[in-house]
Amino acid sequence: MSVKLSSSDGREFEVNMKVATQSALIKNLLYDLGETDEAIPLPNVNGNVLEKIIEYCTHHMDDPPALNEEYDDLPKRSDDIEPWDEKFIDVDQELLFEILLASNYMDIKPLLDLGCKTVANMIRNKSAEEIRKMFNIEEDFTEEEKEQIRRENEWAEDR
Amino acid sequence: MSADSSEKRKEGLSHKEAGNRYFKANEFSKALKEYHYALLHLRGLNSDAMNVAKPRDPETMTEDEVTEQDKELSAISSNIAACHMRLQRYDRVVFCANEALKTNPFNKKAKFRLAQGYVREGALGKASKLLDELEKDSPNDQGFAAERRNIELKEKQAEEKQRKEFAGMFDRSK
Repeated sequence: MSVKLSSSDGREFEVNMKVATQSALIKNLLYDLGETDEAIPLPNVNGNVLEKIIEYCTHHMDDPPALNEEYDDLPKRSDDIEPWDEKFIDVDQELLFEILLASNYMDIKPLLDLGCKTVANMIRNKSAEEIRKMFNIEEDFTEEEKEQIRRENEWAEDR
Repeated sequence: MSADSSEKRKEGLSHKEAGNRYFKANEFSKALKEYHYALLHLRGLNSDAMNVAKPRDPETMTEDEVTEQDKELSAISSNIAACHMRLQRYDRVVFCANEALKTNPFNKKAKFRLAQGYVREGALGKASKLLDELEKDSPNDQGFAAERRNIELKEKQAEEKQRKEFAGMFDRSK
């Protein structure tokens, strides 16, 4: 049983049902509309990114269903990434952000988590200046504001 | 918004309108498809990587945290629930109305649909709790009153059934 997906740039992908339904967006649609020969349009994902997403969903298609988050009270951590996932998500920053957006759009929870953890790990142990550079964030504090922040956080600095 | 995404928005909205037309013509399966296609186009517009990572908790969200985009998406999910209502797929009514409320916890139509779904699925307590909330703002709504009667009816039926079962039990012991 397979499903066709088409990307924003008109590329068509035929994938196993189990691959497609890891996206809650698609799962929900197929549940209501039934099986169809028509390719499902994903106008907010381009072909390159969709290819990556399919790679992820194919690797994980036989995973047991995730814990229901409402009952899952384990603290969130970001150092529990599986080796395959770590290799998968080791991409340039632009693609990483596109994967993040696409997994949010397609509602693929484990992939969204993986993307967020990866971003968290990128930020860890970096100074504000380094983070700003990494994400192209403009520094918009005035000198007084900067001084105040420094004063407020003095206690936390290693000396 | 880029030209590209305003194009997608237009397309999404035209699917939504087509859905509304089919709904009015009582063609609910066709309406369902249009609404799902509307979601495919309208979801994920205006989002950047930073707000994706931001946690959203419908429980603690305030009304002004709900964006226009959220309202639009929530309305479509709520319309999907309405289709299921007419197709008598009540488990889906509950699911889709809940989806709508996750996106906009202040969507009253979705709340009412959820209550309707709950009544038909037999979750009478949950249904009347939702109706309590809804009636605070519109105490004289006909639709709410109708669901109240449905709840009463179902409660009576359940009572009746139980009474018969007990009666049967005593008959046997004679």
